[in-house]
Amino acid sequence: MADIVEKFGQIVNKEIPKNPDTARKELLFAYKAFNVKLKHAPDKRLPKSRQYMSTVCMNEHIKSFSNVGDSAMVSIFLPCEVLRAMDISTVFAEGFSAYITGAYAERPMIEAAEAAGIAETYCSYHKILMGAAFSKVLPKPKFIINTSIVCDANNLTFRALADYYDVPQFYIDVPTDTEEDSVKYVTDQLREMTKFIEKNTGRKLDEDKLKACVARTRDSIANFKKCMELKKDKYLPGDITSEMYEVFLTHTLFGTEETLKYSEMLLEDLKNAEPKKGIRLLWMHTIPYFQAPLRERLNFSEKCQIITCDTNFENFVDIDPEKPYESMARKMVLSSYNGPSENRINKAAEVAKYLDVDGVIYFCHWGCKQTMGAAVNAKKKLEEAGFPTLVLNGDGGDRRNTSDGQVLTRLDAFIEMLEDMKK
Amino acid sequence: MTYYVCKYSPIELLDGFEADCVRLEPLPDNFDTAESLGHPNMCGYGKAVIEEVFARDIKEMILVDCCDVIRRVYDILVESGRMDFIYLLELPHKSGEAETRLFKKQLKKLAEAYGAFSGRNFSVEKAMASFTETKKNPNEKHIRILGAHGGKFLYKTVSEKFSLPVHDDTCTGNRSLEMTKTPKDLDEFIDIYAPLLLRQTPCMRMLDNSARRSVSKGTAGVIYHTMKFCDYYSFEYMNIKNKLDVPLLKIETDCTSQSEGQLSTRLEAFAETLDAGMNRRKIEMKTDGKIYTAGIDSGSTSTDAVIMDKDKNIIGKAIVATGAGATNGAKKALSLALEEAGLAESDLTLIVTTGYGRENISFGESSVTEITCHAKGAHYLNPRARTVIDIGGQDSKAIRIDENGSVISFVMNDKCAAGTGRFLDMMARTMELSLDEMGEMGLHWKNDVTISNMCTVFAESEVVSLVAQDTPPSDIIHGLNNSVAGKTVSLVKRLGGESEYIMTGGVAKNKGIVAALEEKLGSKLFISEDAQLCGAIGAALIGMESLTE
Repeated sequence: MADIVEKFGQIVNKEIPKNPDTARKELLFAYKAFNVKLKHAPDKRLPKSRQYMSTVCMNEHIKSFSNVGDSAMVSIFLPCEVLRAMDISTVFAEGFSAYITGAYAERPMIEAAEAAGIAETYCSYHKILMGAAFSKVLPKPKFIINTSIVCDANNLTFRALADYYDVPQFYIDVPTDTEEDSVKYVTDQLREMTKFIEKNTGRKLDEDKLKACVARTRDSIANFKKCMELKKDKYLPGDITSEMYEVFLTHTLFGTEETLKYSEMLLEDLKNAEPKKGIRLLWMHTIPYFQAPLRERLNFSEKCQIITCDTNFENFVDIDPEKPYESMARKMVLSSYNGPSENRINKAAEVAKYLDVDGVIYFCHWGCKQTMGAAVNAKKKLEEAGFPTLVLNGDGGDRRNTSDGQVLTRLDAFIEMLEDMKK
Repeated sequence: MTYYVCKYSPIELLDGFEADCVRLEPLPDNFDTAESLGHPNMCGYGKAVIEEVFARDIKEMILVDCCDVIRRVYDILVESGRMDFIYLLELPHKSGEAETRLFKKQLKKLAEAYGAFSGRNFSVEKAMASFTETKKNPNEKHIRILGAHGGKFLYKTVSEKFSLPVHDDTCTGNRSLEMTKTPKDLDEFIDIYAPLLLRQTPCMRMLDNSARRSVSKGTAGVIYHTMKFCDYYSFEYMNIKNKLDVPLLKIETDCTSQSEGQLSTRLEAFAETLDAGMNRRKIEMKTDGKIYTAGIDSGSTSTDAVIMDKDKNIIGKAIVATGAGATNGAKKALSLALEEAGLAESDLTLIVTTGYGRENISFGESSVTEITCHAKGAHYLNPRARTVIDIGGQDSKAIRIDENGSVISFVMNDKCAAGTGRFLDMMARTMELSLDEMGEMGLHWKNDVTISNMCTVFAESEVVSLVAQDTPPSDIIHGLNNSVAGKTVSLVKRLGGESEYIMTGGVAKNKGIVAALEEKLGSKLFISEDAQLCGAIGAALIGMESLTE
């Protein structure tokens, strides 16, 4: 299958610089074809919840990519409940780029971004998004909304793309200080955001729909927390791609019926799962789900498995549907990714302990200075907390910046070490 | 003494507590400490700050949460446990009323923290006495440095190469605040001071940075400084590179003094194009009547020499391996070329040197950078050429030239071997092929192989594993050629290159590379028989023109 996709990628790659419209159509065709497969011939090794999730994400990707002009381009940490209440789809860097890389079509986009002057050392998720715009594969969105968290790329990409596309941009500055003043400041900006969306769509937000969305976020978080409790003692077959799909559901798709349904299904699957087995890992940052050695070692393996990924619980805060804006503001201000790296490390250590994992993989995604700069501190603190930690360098979007051989050696050595420790 | 880095640091506020603020000017030899505490892929500046704090045993520091790396530098320094006072000041991305209100609060928090640490009270007089920076006159004719932190080192290096004053508008430079009123106490000070600090000429981090885009009348040229793993400034470079109507040079350093060699070539070449260089020597004629000049291009791999008569005919030429020592290689090349011309060294009126070794060749009488020489040489070889592509041993470059062979603008590769002749050299060695064999074989490929790694070292291991998988060598070479061509074409695109294209340098002989480049450019490349001599031809020509004009 990978070979066919790779060949397909080569065909699209040739098309991108010459006929971006054709390239987009080819990509969409491939995504739709794959979606048919996901629906009618899903990977039976996956539990029902995860089979369902893969189609939810693909639907969202196809919906926004085939109709970018009616979609919002957003940064990953923006709470999207207002957009969902108004039935507006979203394009975000990490999600869009992951699908592009999945189709082996990332290279011409990266080249287009670099030729425009974007540094080779820039985050590849963001570079692919920009390259898709510059090469005209990704048409103009309706508008752009982004937040200052949690990295420089979120401050840069969207401003540059708003300029490039000449579309309206709304920006939410999120202080790192977690005091109530910060929550209030962000709440005010979110209210302004709604006015911005209303103005640019000519539609009015139904506050009740927003409250219903925020209530679904609350309920989804409650379910995910219950799932965590079960994950402590259970083994649910899974793959690393599912962990990345969950990033959609715990971010831009929070507040949707689909996310709520997934959280319920996952809870059900976990209830019926077998007792825990093998080496259990907590992963920090995104996962290069396309990388062969990781797939070979971690997918559907009873020997070693990723139990959770810290991107998928950074925003589990108390939510009050009666105060929708304040709740959305809290998701950002109190995110464990916001502020000093200590917050993120402490949260990971707390969850690692709660889930009783055997070790942590701290993934240094090329270009993510936030993560890389904290690598040594994270390893030290997590190991002090009793969790052996592997700092793994790689790239979540650009195959050029990662080496299968290196990743395999490090991963295998780490698993051997953990197995030894367990004896 | 309290050290600071960012221009948004409230140094006058802290000086009110006698903090004695000094800007950190790090210039370490290596990043050993920083990389052991952080990660190699942090920007050079962030790593340099860590090195400096350790090397000089700095105990007090104020940082601003200006970018991802500085935020992590703060975390690392806190964790090191060696700081007596370290503070990360939160800075909003906007400068409206709500943000100013929050910023005032943050400044008050800082004042409390520093007051408690130092045990001193705030003195309005001392704070006011700290406003000392003066704004440079933007209308005087000057060279402007923009981009990522340059510091004293870059300022000094640039100043040495240009005859014009230099304005440092990099992210840590260009700081000047003016308090028009003397406040009565700390609260009032912060009330006036916060908006002043927040509304300086914005850095790229601020949401609205339109004020950065104005170019003053006096700017004769812009030197744009970037650093690997600095996110912000490549964006600004992307924006201004095609919009600026003054000449622009992009340079990249890593905040160590080791970039000096590469930096010199680029800066001198830029000064030559602006006609603002420092060393325009007057050349005296040695003989009357018959005039001959020699051009010597001393590169990292080969040294080329050309002898030219006064009608600009090439009457002698030679290419030798540089070997050890620029002077020896140059002597050898020159004597071979003289032999071909049937001349003796004493017949030469002038010897002009270019290339990396240009300054070190003891008998050269004048030196010009290879950028200017390649431009001249390319024009000589093909007067219709408007874009010169040169893949050299350690530098790749793209140069745009006008109808007279003068440089309009140029870009060069960054401090990395990827996409240079050295890269091909190493790959040929890995595959146990000669460069000539590699050139020929690259044309006869069957399957598209992608060499995905850009790094020379990693690409080598990729090639090794392809060899192990029995991939035909011609396919591997084709993959390598595409990788070099991709890198080179991105330089050409950055430059806004236009046809006709001419390729110079030794790599021009490599047919595989030429084919890959032509495909990616969508245009033919002009390649002269004397492509490799282009730099030396340019040097001889510049010498001849300086004598006959």
